[in-house]
Amino acid sequence: MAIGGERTLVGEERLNFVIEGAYLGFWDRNMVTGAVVRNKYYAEMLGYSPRELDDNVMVWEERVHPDDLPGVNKARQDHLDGKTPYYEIEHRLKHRDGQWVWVYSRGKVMERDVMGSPLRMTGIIQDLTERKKAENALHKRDHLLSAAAVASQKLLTSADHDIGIKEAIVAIGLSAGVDDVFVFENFDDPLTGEHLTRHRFGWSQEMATSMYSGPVILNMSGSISPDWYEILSSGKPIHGAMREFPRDVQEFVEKFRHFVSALIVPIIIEDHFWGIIGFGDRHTEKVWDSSDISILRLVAESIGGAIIRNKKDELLREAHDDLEMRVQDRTVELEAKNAEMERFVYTISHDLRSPLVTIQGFVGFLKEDTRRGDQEKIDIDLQTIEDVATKMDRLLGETLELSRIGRVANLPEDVSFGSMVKEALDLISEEIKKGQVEISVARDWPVVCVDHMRIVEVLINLVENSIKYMGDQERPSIDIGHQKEGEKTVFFVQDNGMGIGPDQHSKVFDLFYKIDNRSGGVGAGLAIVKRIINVHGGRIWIESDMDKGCKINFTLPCQ
Amino acid sequence: MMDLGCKYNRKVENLPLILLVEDDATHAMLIMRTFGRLDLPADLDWVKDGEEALNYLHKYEYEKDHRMPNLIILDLRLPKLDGHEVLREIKHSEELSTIPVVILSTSKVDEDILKAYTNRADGYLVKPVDFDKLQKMIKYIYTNWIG
Repeated sequence: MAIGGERTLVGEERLNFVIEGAYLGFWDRNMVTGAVVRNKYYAEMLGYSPRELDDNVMVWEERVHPDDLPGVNKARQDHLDGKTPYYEIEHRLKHRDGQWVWVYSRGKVMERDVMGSPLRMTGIIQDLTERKKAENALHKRDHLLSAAAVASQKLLTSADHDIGIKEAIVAIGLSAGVDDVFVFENFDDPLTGEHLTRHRFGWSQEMATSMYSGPVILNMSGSISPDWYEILSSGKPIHGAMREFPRDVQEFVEKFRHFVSALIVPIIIEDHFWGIIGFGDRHTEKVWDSSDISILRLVAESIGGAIIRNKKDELLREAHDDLEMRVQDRTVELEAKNAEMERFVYTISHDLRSPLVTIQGFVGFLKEDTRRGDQEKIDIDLQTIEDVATKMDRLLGETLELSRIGRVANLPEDVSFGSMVKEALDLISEEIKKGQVEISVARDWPVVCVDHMRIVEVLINLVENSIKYMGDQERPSIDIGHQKEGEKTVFFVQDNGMGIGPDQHSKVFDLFYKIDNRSGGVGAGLAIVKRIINVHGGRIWIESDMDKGCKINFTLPCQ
Repeated sequence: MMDLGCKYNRKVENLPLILLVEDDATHAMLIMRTFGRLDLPADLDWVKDGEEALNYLHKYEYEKDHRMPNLIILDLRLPKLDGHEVLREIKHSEELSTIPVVILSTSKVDEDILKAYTNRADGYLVKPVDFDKLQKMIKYIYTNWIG
């Protein structure tokens, strides 16, 4: 007996050792009397000292959470009936302070009577609080993660980042179980340069769609602990109870939202501190855990991404619009050039047919005259053909030059207009003398930036034209000068010749148009002049009337 | 060789009178020599621009023993007054509108042709770059409009 007793004692000691080590609660129930023996830890688990936890206090039906009671009873009954090898169940027990404690209970019937009825049942009970907490945290994290995923997706796919952000914070707010979500955007005061931040987006438990009205601006520099700006702009979060925050923040928050605690995470976009996103709790001094911080960080990054994307999209759109406009301008330009080209070709083909009509005609006559041997007529025929061929050649030459003017432009250089006038007059001095024309030239010429040779050509053409169309003028004179018209200088060549009627003013610049057939030349001169002036970006126009002389004006914008 | 200047004197009264309005001297020579070569009996007067043409026509309107041309051969590209303008003036004038006007031009562009007919041209012919064709054309004009 002693030996058995000894053995039992050692066994029990060992058991106690094990139980103590595992921090297990232990219970031993007498199925007949209903009395339960519990160990120290059991009591401590529920907030009692072992002495306090007696059967009066520990009324099973009151201790077990009402939702768990049915399950507990069934589990016990199943085991007592022999259906299960163990009694095993997780349930809640009421702690002394009224909180519920999750426990894991496992036990077994140890003694039965000869009938098989249970006499004694013992088991252990384990505090699951920590495990449950961990489980909850994991759940919460899962929940938050999926919310963050939703938020990210919204931010990634929204065309307008404003909408994306609004939708994202709703998703986050709902699953984070917070009272408020807010987003502030930083900006600098244009006058003082202070760092300010203003409320941009918000979500609140209370209202389904919350938009705070009016501007809500917080000064981030100076008045607030400058630490905040440092901390946030370096990418670190700030969190805690409102009463621990700087005074200004508290005052601001008082006016605005009455948070008790808050978590603030910065939104950094390409190294620039764009703003903040945060959670606010209006009821408890919530302790923000790593899940909350991580999730908010994730959303902050997604928001940053959405904003960048939006900006880039906008830039792309602008570039695209800009390109479109330029293409349009270019198209209009090309169409105009095309139209000009068509007119050109029309004029050419038209005006080159004319001499061919003559040539063919006179070749026909020549054949007959040759057969008849009419030498006089033969000479005339040949001369006519020759003259017309020469004229055609000149026509072609000037046409070629005209087309070249548009394409080949020498680099403009700065040159005094006066020097070009002098050069032109020198080149046609013979004609001037022959026409006995008196030329007067102005002084104080401005410097212009032009293709030097071309402008000399223009001047030669204009002066030659004036000489040609002097008509019956007894004292032919040409005046070359300049005058101011507003900001621009207008250059002119004026003569006292036969003039040009107003109805002809526009035709005069047409290719091959001739004012009078008595004069020589093919009539391309003024067309070429006009082309040169236009290519330089200037305008040319006539002031003239019949028998009242002619004044040709032009501008050269590059002055 | 015919005188290439403007003639205002009537030499022979009973020959049909044709007014040629043509700015290119060589073309005028061609046409007039063709008349001679084909022995087409007619008096040809030649003016070199639209203004001269109208002066010519109006002058004879008011003179007592005026002689209006039996036919006007009109080129379109004329200095001073465009051929289309001349045509329009002739066909809008009571006295002159009865004179047949045949356009003889280097232009074969639709716009010119349609414009001429709109202004009531009696015919439109394109100057051919072919000697024989030109000869035939002149003959045709004479036959059709003079007889």
